Amino acid sequence: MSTGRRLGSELLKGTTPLLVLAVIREGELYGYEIAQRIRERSGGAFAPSEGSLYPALHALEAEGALEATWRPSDRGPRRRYYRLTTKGAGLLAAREREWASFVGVVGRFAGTPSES
Amino acid sequence: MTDRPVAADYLATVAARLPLPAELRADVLAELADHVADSIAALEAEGLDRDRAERETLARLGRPEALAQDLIRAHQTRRRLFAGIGGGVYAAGGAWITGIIFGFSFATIATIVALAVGALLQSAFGVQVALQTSDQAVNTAIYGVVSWFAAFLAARAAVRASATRSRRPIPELARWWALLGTTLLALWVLVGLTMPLNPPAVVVECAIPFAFAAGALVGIERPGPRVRGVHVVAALAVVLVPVVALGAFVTHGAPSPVVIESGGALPNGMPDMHFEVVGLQATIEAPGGGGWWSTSDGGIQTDASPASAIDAGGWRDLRFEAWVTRSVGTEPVVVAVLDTTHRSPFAVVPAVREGDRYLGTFHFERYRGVGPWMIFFTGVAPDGRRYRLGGGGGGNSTFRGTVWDWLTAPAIP
Repeated sequence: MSTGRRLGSELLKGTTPLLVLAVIREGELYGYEIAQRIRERSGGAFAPSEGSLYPALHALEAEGALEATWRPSDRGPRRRYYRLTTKGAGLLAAREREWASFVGVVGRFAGTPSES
Repeated sequence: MTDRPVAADYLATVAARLPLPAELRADVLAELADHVADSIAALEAEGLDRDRAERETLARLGRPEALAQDLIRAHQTRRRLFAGIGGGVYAAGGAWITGIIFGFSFATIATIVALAVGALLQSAFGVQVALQTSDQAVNTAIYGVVSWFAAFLAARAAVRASATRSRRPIPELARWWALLGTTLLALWVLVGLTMPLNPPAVVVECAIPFAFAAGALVGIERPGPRVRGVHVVAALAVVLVPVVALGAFVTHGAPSPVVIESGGALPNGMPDMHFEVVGLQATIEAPGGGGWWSTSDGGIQTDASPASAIDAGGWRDLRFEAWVTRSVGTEPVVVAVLDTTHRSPFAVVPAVREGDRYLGTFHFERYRGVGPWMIFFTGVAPDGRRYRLGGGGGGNSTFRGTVWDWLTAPAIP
């Protein structure tokens, strides 16, 4: 799926932790894989967000939402794999509720986008 | 990892703006380098040439300065800063205790070595080495040197623990720890640490804050040697066993410790005590000033009685005087006599009547440079001259207080 559009970097920055947590919920991943998953699932709309990916990963790790371990990868060099913690799962659930509420409120003003 | 110049420059720019502990920074850069390599490989697989793939990868990461700034914010949080401060204080406390234990262990070994060498010199060459002292300030100096160890180790532990926990670079934290720790220790030494003092002990104590600063700043980025229990046991065995064996060997059959006495007769009779410096002896002598005892607050108290007989003689301006003495004679019989270079008492307290006696309380421990002393009970007779009514009891005191007390205390003239 491709949106054919790229979202504003400020909007993306605020949602990066939610996207990261949601992607890692699927299993242990390393940085580039996380970026790829986000890119694929957003249809390229979140492409410019890679610069904010690692700061977000490290901040979530500092919060205790993620656990990171260095392990050899299937393809050679060791990589840093991230895993969702129990605290991270709780945080993700809270962020999802916030996001749903946010979308609902903004939707009342902005309306539903029309298909073009 | 990528070895392309552009990507390498990008990563070098990030590295230069990433003030994190070296190990952590290496991890972060390795992770970024992996990302760059993966991204370039993926874009090349999509059909881009190497240069375009590299440029696209770096463009997606954004400006290296901004990335570094965001990474710093992610790592150097306020919570980690507080954790670093707490961890540093905790580590410093533990290292201080370790330093004190090791310091006293080494001080004990050094003392045994000194005693062994002294005994060896005495038994082999007849050389008398004075290894015993009644000056409590020597213990302060030893404690001060032990505290150098403790302060040095505490500073290193504090800097390293806080750097690890707060994720800040060691040099940055070392400066703060040096400033803060040195200031606090200087205040503690100056106004908080009450100990027996003499000039060497004051110098040793004043060096404690500098030992902390040295611990925080000197070679702090170099990893210290990894000391394991086996190393400690081996070191103690190598040092302690021969030293104890040597000490036991040379002290076996050594002469008994020298007894230093104050008072008593010299073989050629009593020396001149020079009591005339204090004043003429009154015809009626009170037994005051001959004995003394310590008070609970560190003072020296003496008395004279019976007060009624003293009062009946018309004496006025009654007081106790403390005079500096010096030792004469040869061991084992040494006698304390008045030091005639002092023409006045170094301390005077009024005699306070309590029941049928007069009391006087001195605080010799508050006089800088105090040493051996002798107390006299004096008074002014009806003829207007001051006489010696009694006394002659003596002892030895050491200044006790903080360094500030030492600096502001009255000195023995």
